Amino acid sequence: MAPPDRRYYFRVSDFVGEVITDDEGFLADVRRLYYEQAEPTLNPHVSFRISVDRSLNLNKIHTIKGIRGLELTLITAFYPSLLPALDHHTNRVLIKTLQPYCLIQGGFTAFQGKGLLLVGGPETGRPLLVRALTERGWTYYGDGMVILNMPGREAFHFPKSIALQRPANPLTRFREGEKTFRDPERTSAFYVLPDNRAQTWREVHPVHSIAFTSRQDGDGPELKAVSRADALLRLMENAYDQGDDDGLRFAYLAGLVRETDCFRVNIKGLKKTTDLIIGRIAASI
Amino acid sequence: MAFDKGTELMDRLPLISERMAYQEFDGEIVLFDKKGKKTFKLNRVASLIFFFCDGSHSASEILKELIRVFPKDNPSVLSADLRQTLEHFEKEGIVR
Repeated sequence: MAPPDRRYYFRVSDFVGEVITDDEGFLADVRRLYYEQAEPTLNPHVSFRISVDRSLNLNKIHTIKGIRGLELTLITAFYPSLLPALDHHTNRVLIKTLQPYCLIQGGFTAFQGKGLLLVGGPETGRPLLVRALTERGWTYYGDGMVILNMPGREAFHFPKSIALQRPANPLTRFREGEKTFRDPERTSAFYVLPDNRAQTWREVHPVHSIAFTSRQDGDGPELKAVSRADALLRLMENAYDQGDDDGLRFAYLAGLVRETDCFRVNIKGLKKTTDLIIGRIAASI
Repeated sequence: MAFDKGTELMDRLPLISERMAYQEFDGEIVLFDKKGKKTFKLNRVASLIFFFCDGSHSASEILKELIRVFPKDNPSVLSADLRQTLEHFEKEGIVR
C-alpha cells in the first residue's frame, strides 16, 4: 500500500481518477497533466484506479482498472514513459464511457466569446494551428480529442494536449536520467499546457464556428466555404465510434452544422493562416 | 444477363432500409448507416432518387420523375444514372 503522498486523485470531466504509485516521477507527471485535483472524501466513486509499481523491474505488468469492469494493462517495456500510455488509455476509457457526449478528433479554442472547433487529423496541421492561435491569445480548451456536450452546442475543456506536445527526443529531458528502450524518433513528448487555458476540466464553451483543416499546394492560406452536407460528412469521419451509436450523434452533428459557420482552412504559413481565421471570427462578433 | 438483372431492378419498389438515418441540406442527402457505421453523401440526383425510395414507387416511375425534374438531361443518361444509383443503394444496404 502506497503512503498517502503517493496517491493522487484527479478529475477528468465527470470522472475521478486515483493514482497509487511508488514512482515519484510518474506521480509528478500525472499531477502536471491532470492538474485538476479531486477531493477523495467528496468523490468516493473513483472512475479510474491506476496502480503503478516500478520498483521491481521494467517488465512488470501494470494495470489500469476502469469503470464498468474495464481493465487496461500497461507493460513498462513498451512504455518507458508511462504518461503517454496513461493518457492514451484514459482516453480509451473515456471514449467508451462518455456516452452522452460526442467525441471528435480535433481541437477547440475560443476568442472573444467565439468558440472555434478545428476538425482534422494531426497530419493536416491542425495541432500547429491550435497552438498558433493559443499563442496569439486564444483560450485553449483542448486538442487531440474534443468532447462535445450533447445536446448542447458546447465543448468541454479537455486538455489532452497531444497537439501541444513538443518533439521530445528528450525523454532524457522529460524524465531526467531515465533509461529507455525507445527509438529516439518515436519518443513521447512534452505536454505543454498554455497559461491561457480554461480553468477547470468541466468548463464548457459554445461552438460558433467549425474549421476543417487541410494542407494543399497553393500560393497561400485560404478559407473556403464548405457545404453543410460536406461538413457533416467530415465531422462523422472525425467522430470517435463510441460503440452504441444509434444515430443520435449523427443527428446531433447535423444540428451542429446547421447552426454554425463551417469553412475549410488550407494551412499555409501559420501567421497568415491565423490572420485569416481571426479576421473571419472578428467579422462575426 | 446484365439486361435481365437491370430489368428486374427497374421493376422493384425500393424502400429505404430502417438502418439508415439521413439529413437533408439544400437538396443534398447525408446518410448514416447505423448498423454498418458508415456515412455517405449523395449528389442531387441520387438524393432525389433516395426520396422516391418509399416502397410505393417502382424504378420505372422514379425514372419518369427524374425526366420531369431534369427535362434538359438525356433520358438514357438519367436511366443509366438511376440504375447505377439503385445498384449502389442495394450494395450498401441503403434500400431493401
